[in-house]
Amino acid sequence: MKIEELHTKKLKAFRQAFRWHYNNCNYYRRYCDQVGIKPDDIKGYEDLVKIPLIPSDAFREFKILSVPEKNIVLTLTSSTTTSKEPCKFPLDEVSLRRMMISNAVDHREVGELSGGSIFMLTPDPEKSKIGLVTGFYRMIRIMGFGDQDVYFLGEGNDFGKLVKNLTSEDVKRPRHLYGPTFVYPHLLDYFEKNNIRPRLDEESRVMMGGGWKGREGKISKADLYRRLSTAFGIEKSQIRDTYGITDIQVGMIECEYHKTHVPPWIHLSARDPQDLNREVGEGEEGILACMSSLIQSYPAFTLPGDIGVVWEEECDCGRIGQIVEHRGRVRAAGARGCALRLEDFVKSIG
Amino acid sequence: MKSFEIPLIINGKIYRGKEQTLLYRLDKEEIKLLMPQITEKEIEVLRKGQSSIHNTSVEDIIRFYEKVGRLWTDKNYALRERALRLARLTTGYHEAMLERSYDIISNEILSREFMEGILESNFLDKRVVDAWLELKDTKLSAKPRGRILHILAGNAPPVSIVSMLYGSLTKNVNILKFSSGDPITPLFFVLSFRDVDRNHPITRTTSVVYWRHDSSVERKTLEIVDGVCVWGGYESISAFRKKTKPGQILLEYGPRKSFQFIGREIYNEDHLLKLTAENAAHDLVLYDQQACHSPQVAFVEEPAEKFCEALAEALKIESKKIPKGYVSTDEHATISHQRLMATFRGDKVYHPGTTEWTIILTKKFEHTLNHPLSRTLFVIEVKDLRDALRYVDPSVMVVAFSSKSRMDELKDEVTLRGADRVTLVGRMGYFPTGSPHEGRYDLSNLVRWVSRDLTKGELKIRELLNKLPKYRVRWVRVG
Repeated sequence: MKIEELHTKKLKAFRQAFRWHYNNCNYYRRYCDQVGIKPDDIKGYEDLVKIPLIPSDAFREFKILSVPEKNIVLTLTSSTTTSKEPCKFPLDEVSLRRMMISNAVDHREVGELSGGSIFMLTPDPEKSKIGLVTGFYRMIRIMGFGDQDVYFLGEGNDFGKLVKNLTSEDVKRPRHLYGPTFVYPHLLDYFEKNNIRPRLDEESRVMMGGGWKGREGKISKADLYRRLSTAFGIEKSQIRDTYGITDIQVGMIECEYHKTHVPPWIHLSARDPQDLNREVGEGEEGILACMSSLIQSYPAFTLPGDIGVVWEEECDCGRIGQIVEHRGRVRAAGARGCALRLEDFVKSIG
Repeated sequence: MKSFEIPLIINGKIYRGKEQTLLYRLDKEEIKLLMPQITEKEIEVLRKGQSSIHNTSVEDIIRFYEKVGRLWTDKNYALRERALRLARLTTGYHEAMLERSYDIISNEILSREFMEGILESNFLDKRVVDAWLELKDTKLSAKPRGRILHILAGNAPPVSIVSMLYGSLTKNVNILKFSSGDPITPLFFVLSFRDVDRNHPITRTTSVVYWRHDSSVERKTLEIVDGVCVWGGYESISAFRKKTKPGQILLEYGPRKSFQFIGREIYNEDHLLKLTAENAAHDLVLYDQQACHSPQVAFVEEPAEKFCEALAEALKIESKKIPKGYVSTDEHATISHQRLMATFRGDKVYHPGTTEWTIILTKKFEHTLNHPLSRTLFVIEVKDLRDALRYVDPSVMVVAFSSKSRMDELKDEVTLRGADRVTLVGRMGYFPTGSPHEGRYDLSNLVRWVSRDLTKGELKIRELLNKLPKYRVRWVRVG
């Protein structure tokens, strides 16, 4: 697909989504009217920047719905350290299905994740309501991974059991790993301490998410990838970071060239911190505005408080479109990454 | 990256080194401040030093500080020039704000009038710090506690000097631990002591130090001090509550907020509305709203929109007189986020197109709780200012009124609810001599009150003297 074609399809999708939410969400319509933007104002791709964005705190304070409340089947929340109340994102069946399928497609097509078994370096989702855990679990079930194919680290368990399962002959190949970024250094330390080198498979993927900040400080990506490659005997192209945005129900995965591709149903833009209605130049760092055309239960046009860089290119992997580099959180917005809450659990094991 | 070296001071002696670093980032510019590491060895030097300056008279202390003040009134004074250059980088404040702060320190705070004023308002009779004064059936004197550790904050430069004066005027020895937010003001003022008198007891006993939180050096210092003045946020104050020991005085200067109460009398005449708005704007811009006396919320009798429009015009002008200091990307983003949030709530937002200042006209007090500061004023319309009284509690330091009559009308209600001070809009950042601070007169807490009983004989003589007719008695020498 050429970039112009992508722009045309995106424009169509977001015009439709904006009109839907303008017509069906009272809070959002009032907000749009206050700022003076209507669906007809979105004429070209360059007008996507005009779509009014909802600050994340609004999802804490208001029940923002574009469908009847009785249609809501699941409400996902984002963790927060700045408020007792989390932000709530209500999903109806249509939105939930679209979310899970789209994330599954992305992980299969870009992440090249398929088949085998998955070792989640997290508690069982029955015990953890964190989006990073439950969202990923739901997605891999849609991808066809059965209960018997998914292993959890579990609270009270230790890395020893993980290694035992990982190296067992009975476990389906290829074996994939997934977990919060900060768990991996602990796992690698365990391997080194116990002189273990579990070899993974050619098609294995080692995936991580939740940001690059651990309790000891920022983790070096290059350093971690090198250690993982050595420990598991895999290529660095098999290691994939993911960037999840709970506000718009997306989990984006790196390609083999370690670029995070923005799926075509998502639109990101980096905004000027002094005026969030204005985009910074391509490739410049700004506050990320995140929009999804798939969610129909609430207007998924938000400012989650992330900082990053967005640009368009034809990647070496052959994919075209937006690429995002997440660079952290706006500090006053508080740490909202799911991963940090898991760290206390992980400290008790390993 | 630019690097600057600053010394530390122990009992007047200058220590140099580069073992400790403070890092500042202004946009893409990084600044490193290098200073020596204070170790337990230096704390031992502190401990062995003089533990009070009780032999120095208050008059001598005042004269000393007056001379320091005079040095700093000279804008070309080398230390002042250097302090301004560095403080701009470390505080982020605009040069105009810092010049203003240093003018206030040199012309007002270090003036005889101010210092005598503090003493008289705290002790009624300032001679009690030097001598024994008769009170009822006793003679009373105020003795220094000894060594006072000042944990300084970085949000308002004059505060470091006021804290230091509290210690000196009560003849205590000062150990000033500066904040990373403003290392320069206290350090450079103390450095200037040497230009006044190298051998003065104040020069020889004042220390300016820095260490990381919870270090062993902090613990050792706490063992040798007799009192601690803590300026800062909840975390800092809570921490020092746990660290100080019984018998050690702890004076807390914690985080507070302030309000403006604007009455409808300002709408009677255009010039009154304009003047009130100008005064309100001035209160808002001082220290970029970082000070305890900075207004965060204005309660305005309807129609509040009229006030907001006038305030917006006034802020356009006031921002040019005292420009805003450095604003980080995070702060810009937080202000912008709050504006969007306010809009989503249906509030009315006024701003100049940049993040220079913001007025948010909102209906709910709850909307003000996630305050971005940085020259943001929430305005809540009320039918009557009495409707705003329920929001005043002990977290409120200053309530400023739009007129004297409204101030006198509500001063009891406001102060009974916890506010420490009532004043007029435009005066929030100016504490008149004689004002208490945090609801206290703290010089009284920085001394030990000691008494010497009057003897029976003395009491008898006094009794007899009181019975004498009230005419002048002239003592005549016989023989």
